[in-house]
Amino acid sequence: MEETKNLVEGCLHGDRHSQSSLYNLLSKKMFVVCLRYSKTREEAEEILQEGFMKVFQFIHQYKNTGSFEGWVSKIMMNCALQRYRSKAHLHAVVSIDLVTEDHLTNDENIISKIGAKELLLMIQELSPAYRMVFNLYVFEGLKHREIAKLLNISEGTSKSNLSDARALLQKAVNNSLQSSQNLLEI
Amino acid sequence: MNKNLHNIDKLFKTAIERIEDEPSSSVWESIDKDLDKKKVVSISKKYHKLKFAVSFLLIFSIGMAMYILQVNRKNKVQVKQNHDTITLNDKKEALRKDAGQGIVIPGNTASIQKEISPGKTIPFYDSSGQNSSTTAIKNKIVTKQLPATVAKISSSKEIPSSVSKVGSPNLNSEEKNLNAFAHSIKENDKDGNFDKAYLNKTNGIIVKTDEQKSGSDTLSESVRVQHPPVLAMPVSSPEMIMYKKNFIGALQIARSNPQKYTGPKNAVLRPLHGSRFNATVFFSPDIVSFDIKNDQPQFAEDTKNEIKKNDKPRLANSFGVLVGYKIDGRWTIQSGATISKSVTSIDSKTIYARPDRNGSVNFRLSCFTGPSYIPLQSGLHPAQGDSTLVSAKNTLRYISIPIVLQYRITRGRLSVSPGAGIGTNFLLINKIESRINTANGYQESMTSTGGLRSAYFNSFLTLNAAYKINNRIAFSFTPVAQVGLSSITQDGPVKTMLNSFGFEAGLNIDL
Repeated sequence: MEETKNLVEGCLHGDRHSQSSLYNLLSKKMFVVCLRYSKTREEAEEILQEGFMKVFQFIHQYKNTGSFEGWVSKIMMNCALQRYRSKAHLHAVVSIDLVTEDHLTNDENIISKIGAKELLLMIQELSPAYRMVFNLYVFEGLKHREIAKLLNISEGTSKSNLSDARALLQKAVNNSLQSSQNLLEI
Repeated sequence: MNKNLHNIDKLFKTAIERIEDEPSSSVWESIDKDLDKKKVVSISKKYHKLKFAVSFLLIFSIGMAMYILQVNRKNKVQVKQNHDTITLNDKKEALRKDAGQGIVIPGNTASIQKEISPGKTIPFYDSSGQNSSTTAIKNKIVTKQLPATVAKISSSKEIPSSVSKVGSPNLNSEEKNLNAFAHSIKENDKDGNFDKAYLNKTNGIIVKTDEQKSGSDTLSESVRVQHPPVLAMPVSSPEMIMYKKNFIGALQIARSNPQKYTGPKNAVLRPLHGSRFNATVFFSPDIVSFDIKNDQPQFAEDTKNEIKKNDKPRLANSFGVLVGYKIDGRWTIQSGATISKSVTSIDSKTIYARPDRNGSVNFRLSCFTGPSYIPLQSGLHPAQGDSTLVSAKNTLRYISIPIVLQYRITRGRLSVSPGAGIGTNFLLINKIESRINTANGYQESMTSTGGLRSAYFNSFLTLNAAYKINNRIAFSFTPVAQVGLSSITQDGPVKTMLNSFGFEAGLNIDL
């Protein structure tokens, strides 16, 4: 905490060493945030770069009231949102098969079987609209009303997108579990 | 189903929030490059001094503008009020009658005491031209009671005897008396004897002259005008103090601006001349110093100490024109344009080849003005990390727009004006003439620094001393201390504040 505070102070004075250290401290976590909002690693890296530039540029606006990491994460989210808005998105038409519930067991079991990075890949595989709504709802904790406002969509669309995203992810998780089950049987 | 959906949310949140992933190293490299270009820093923190200076300048300017507007408005009202009571014709008439003829003592009754050298005839004329001259007896104080008709000076109205009181309500007549008296004193003051004067509440105006020696015609005289009390204002008022200090000036004011003497509280004393503007042309040799701080610690070879050690200010000077506006008898606001030049020698030191912003590798010289890349002759391409010896000369030229507020203290011909202000300095020229040791021998080249700001702010402390040669021109000498408020560099390994101390010498001319 004290280290972060010192680094922020250094960044306020334009100290490149502090900027570099702050980047090293937060870049790994923030890269995951960017990956959640991106289709590819390259896209995530672009968001990360843009986000850190904004962090250094507007660091004087950080009021020391909340977590600095949370503040940086919010900047990453805003960069991703901006990027999302700047691109024309077509609504994804995805066929969602009925999902069986049998395989959804304990979270830890699933994570141990599938792996967190594979779960992250599943989110990346979602269409931009679904991915955006899922991220904002699940990770940022926003309400549908807020998401609708941010993405310039209706609340109904937000709910529908979230529902579809969940269904797709559930299906992907089930498929993954099924595959690992089959491998074990072989 | 719902339960499972929520489990999906929790599953993803729990799993992903605990993982980390390392981005490729190119991300930081790109950020580093972008930071070099934009030099992203906190504006509010880093430039708090600059913001303070700008705020001060803004508030000061607004305050001055309001003050000047108020004074102008007040003056206009006064002019209007007096327009009906004092006319220019009155004044001209008084001048025509009095010019070169003697001293006219206005008032209903007056007594004059004169201590005078033997045989000297002091002419006195009343406004009707009647000669009331008297011849002095040796070293004797001669008191002459003037006839009542003397009081009729350039006025169609008879001045009642009630005027004999200080603070008489008949101010218009008193004003006329003052003006006529002032004119006559001035017109007869061919030798400039009337240097000192003071007002005595009981006795009215007392004018004392300095002793003037010219052979046998030694004249030492004092003129006491017991009546009338020409100014209906308290003796201790600032206007009266001013009056005491520079009576001749005040007389001239009376002659040129009779309307100013409207009353005790509203009286405004003007400078000696009609215009409130003056101009100062000056040249100043300067002593320049730098306040250098580390700005980018990762430049290992470009430490503050190395730059401090190698960069030595040599020659510096400035010249310019400043125009002053006299707000009142004491305060002057001054602005103009100053061009300053400073030359700094950079002692021989080792520099290294580094990629510049365009990606091409050149020897980078870091100095107090920031980094500069020294171009080599065609065919020479240093590899990154190569080193060589270089010595250089750095020339900076700025044009400065200062705003200085001065307070004037006058003693006879000499005036001293301490002042303070701030200035904006715009970069005109920056050149670095370097001599670099290459494989083909020594090579000289000229380049500029990329890391200089186009403008910076500084503050001034001045102490102007002016000696009047005549009514319009004065020699001016001003020690000036200048302190940088903002850095002159923006993209260098160091942050440099430019300070200087100069000795401005020039001429001050009343416009």
